[in-house]
Amino acid sequence: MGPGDDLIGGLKRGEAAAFDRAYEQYRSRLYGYLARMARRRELAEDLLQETWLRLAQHASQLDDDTDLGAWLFTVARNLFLSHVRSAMTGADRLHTMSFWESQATYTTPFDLTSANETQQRLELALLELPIDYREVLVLVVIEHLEPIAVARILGIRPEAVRKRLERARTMLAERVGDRPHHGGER
Amino acid sequence: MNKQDQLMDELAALGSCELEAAADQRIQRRARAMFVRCARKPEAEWMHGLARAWRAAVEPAFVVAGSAGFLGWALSTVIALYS
Repeated sequence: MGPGDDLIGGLKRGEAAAFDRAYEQYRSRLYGYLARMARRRELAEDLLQETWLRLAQHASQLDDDTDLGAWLFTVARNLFLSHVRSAMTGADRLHTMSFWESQATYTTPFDLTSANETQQRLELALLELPIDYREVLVLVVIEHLEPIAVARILGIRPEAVRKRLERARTMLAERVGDRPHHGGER
Repeated sequence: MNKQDQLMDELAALGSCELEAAADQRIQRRARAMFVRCARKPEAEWMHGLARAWRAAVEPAFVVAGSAGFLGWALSTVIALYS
């Protein structure tokens, strides 16, 4: 992350302008990631806010060579996974499981009415993928992160990222192929 | 270009989704306020330095010194008992 060096310095020194710049640079990407992972607008917004609060609290402790993008995505991912884990415990476990595994019973955080039919089918097929495969597609293909950075975010080896990506591509192609061409299945 | 590559191109073109303006402003305002509050704490950097020094040197030194002291005491006790 080239321009990140200066940004990190500013964040460590507590410069509000550096924080604004970081926010401007990463808010849409983080929100896109969280929205596609959480599949609910309100939850994505809560997780996004928590991610930025974490940066606000820990900015002074960042290392000089921190890759800010990878750091933010890692925090966002950990917050999302914590939410999933806490939602998976307790009395509503069965209900929650059926929610996460449901096929197209959710409303997406995206304005699909403005998208063309291909984009709608693709977005819905992506949202139906299991979390592990969905996130690797979002990070690599949509957010254009380097596989090495994605490996760091996911805590796996780059080779495993490549394999997971390959599998995710196949799964997505199958799902897109299975979907009827005339929308309306939401 | 095969079908999967084409699909990946279409996926890449989806891009990020836009946060609603009200939520965007609320999140930025809260996070910025927290950032400024944390940055204003004069002891923050000093405390982090102290915490790092504690973890890196003082804590291990305490553990080593305590273990060595106990080992020395135990050995001297055993020697005193059998001599």
